[in-house]
Amino acid sequence: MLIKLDHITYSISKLEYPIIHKKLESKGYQIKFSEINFKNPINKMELMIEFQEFSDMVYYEKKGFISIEVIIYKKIHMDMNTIEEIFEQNHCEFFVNDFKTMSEMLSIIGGKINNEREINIKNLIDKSIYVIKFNELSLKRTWLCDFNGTGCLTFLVNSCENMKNKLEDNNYICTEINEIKIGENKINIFFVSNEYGDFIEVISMVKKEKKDV
Amino acid sequence: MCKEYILKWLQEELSICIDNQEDFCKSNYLESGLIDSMGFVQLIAEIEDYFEITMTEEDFENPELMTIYGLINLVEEKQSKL
Repeated sequence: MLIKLDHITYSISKLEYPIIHKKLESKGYQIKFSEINFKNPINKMELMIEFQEFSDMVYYEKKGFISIEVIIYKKIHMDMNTIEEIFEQNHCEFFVNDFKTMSEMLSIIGGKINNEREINIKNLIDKSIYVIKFNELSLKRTWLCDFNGTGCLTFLVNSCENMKNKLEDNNYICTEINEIKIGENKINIFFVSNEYGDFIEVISMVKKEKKDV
Repeated sequence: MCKEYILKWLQEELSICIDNQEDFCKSNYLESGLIDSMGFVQLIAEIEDYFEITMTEEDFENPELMTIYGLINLVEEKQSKL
């Protein structure tokens, strides 16, 4: 079950970070948490030019807006097709290779298609609706996690296992589920891509180990 | 028992400090900022597992879910149907 659109990732180099931080702060974003030498999940290997075991991460949030996870890679690759995505209150415009297949993929995870370019994502917690509008790239690109710039959309679900099964039943290619640790929380994570190379990230909380309380 | 279990779990697992149980149980725990969305997802998963129930999308539509008393009612209602 889809709980909410959690965040969008933004990949940058260490040199760029002060500029990005200033930019986000000026737009009203605040740091929620950060991790130094955060261990990247192995399943990201398929989606990077060169796998880096560790990177830094800073998570920003702003009420009513999509949260942004800035990932600071030691080595970042320049995307020749860098695009400035548009984030407004309760909606964003996102560039993809093919909007129709992206909308279809998001409808499998629980989004509601408005029209073929737009999808609504309901936040089951605060009941708000987030609208994602897809713009199609004139020039198709292969985007990877360690490319500089806006990355992928990340969705929080109640169970990664169930969501992965659902997507695979619909012939989508998913990575393995990996467990990562952020602060005190353990999180399951996997990626799913469509035939045009557009991909999203899906996360769920790992249940705390059972003990007698 | 349900109330005690949930409160103890929140205190031990999410390190939530509950000064006044009655006020806490009546308040919207998300609006008060005591539990964030990750904590909420963990809480629901724990409740589903411990009480052997399943929350549906319709349950999430129910505003009662956002208070501990509402949550307890929902758990008891689901358990009575098992």
